[in-house]
Amino acid sequence: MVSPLHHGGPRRPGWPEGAIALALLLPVTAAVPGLLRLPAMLTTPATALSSWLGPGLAGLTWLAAVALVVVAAWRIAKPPAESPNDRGPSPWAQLRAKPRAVVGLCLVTLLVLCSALAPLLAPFDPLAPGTVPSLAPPSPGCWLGGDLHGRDLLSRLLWGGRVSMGLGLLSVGMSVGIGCSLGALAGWYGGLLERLITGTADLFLALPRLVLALAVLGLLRLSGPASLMAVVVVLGATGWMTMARMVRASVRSLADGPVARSARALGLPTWRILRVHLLPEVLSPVLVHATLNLGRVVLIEASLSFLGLGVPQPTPSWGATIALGREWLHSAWWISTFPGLALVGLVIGLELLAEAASED
Amino acid sequence: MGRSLLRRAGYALLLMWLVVSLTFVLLELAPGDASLHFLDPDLPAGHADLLREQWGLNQPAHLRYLLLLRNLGSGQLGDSLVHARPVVDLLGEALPATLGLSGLALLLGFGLGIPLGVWQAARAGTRREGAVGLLLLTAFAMPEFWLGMLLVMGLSGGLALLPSSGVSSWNHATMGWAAGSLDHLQHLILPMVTLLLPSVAWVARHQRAALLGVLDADYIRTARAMRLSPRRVLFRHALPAAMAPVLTLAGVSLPALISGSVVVESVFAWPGMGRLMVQAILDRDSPVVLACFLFYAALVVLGSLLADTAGAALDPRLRQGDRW
Repeated sequence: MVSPLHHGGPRRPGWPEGAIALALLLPVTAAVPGLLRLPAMLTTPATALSSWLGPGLAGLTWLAAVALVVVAAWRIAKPPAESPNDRGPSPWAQLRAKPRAVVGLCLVTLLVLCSALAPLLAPFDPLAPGTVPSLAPPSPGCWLGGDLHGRDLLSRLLWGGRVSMGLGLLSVGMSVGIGCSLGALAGWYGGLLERLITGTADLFLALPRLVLALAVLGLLRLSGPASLMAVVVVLGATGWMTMARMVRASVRSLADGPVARSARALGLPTWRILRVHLLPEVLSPVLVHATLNLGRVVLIEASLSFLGLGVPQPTPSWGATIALGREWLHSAWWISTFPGLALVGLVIGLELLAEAASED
Repeated sequence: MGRSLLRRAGYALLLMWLVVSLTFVLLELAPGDASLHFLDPDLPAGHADLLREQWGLNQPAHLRYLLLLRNLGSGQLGDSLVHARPVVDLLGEALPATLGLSGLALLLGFGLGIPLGVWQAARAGTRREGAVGLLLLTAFAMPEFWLGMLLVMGLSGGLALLPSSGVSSWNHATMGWAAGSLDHLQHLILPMVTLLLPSVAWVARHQRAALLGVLDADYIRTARAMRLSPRRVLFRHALPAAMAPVLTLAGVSLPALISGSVVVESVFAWPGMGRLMVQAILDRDSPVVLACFLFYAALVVLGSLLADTAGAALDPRLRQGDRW
């Protein structure tokens, strides 16, 4: 006898989706106390930087990022089995069959690990001036050269990855949270609430994200930690619409299905039905979309920093470092080139990963 | 039709009102007012008061808000605080430059991206298509300003082939018509390529996905089983169905594509809308900021109108008006 709550068809292994969701939620919760400690980081560079990115935010965020990579690797190597008895091809064969996914995985793993281990890998303090000669070209011992103030660009690249990816993860986590909850509400309750939510999403979807971010950040002109928080909030609040749309469509189609009806007949509370029985069904596409979104968000953050409205200047983010090199395009090409390459690598890696995940 | 037009007009008005209100609130929330931003802090306090009175800043916020709405309602955008000129003139100068750059990039982007996407979908799975796909992905992944800077480094710095910024050379006025046009063209190439590469990649990706989705459909299999030529199946039966989502997307993201020029215009010192807006935001030149935002809002409205019209014309299923 099949229990009324059985979803029909083979159960997918549940933990990768759960782990990814956790990975995206952790930085959000970890960030609040972490970001509040930022003023110290901006005023007294060297020591405060490691104290901020050290224990609190950094530990959890980077645990989350590494978990994300591991989960992605696991998913690619071992897609959900067709039936409980069918083991499917070996993980190695799977990887051999998907060279693009492997390239993506390698790129993302490399960049995430480099950023996560920045305190160990970076040869110098990314904020301390004069550690290398001013505008030093790339050379052994100073691999990526130095900027005008004699800051080591390799160190800035490694730490900048933490800032860029950290901000990206935070805002994507926020988007996933908003998208899932609003989408579930709209799909489950319908009626006026649904129309309100879909209307708002349509409005947000139509507005150009960069212009919106420019408006809020440029006109409010916050400084210090508040401006980092504002970048996260603005990008997070403008990235939830497609996910809400996916969740709503799925919840709506399942809300009258046997699972939801049986669960209601058993008297389960609504939030439990949504969380345990309906949302997991749509989590995979939502997370694929979140992966793509992470790439876009990192790019937009870089554009904002380039225009001088994103991450404030002493903080090393990839976009801000590219902007630094703008004045020295013809004499010191290395300042802007390498952070740009890192950005391109990250975005390509994420796109390839998302592509592989959506093929399954 | 009449009802949907009415709903659309209501939506447009709502959007405009939201834009104006949001801008007003943001300007109010920011510390200090415009007079502090423009005046030398060493001047005696009387000057600031004079300026505040002249700009009406000494009145309470709600009165200023109502005054703003009334002025906008009667079509007055006011004068720029920095340039002391009518905002309309500034927009009128910036708009042609933006249309010349972004408008052309938009057209070329679709003109090149759609055939490329069709080719990709028709050859999906081959090695060559994979390689092209990877190239397009790279173009898509590049931040526009970085691509622009690379181009400037290589082509205008290293090889000294092309000018790196502006719309014309300093001695443009002395050139004849032909040399002048060539000069404009030379200045256009780098920003154009910078804008074009990502947008071609973006259009091709959507066209490929849409066409691949259609090529899976039962009726295409039927058409193939009926021994229709592959060319006929592709162009006659699959492509029209696959155009609707792409055109819809194009319309919806029209403002996003134009706003892509915000960054590129800053890199290449191109005197268009994007640069005007960024500069106005940095200068807190509120009338210009407001006018630019309203321009983008109008683009949003126009884009969604175009998207729905084109979509409905191509795909009868979209005529219900429910895109969700």
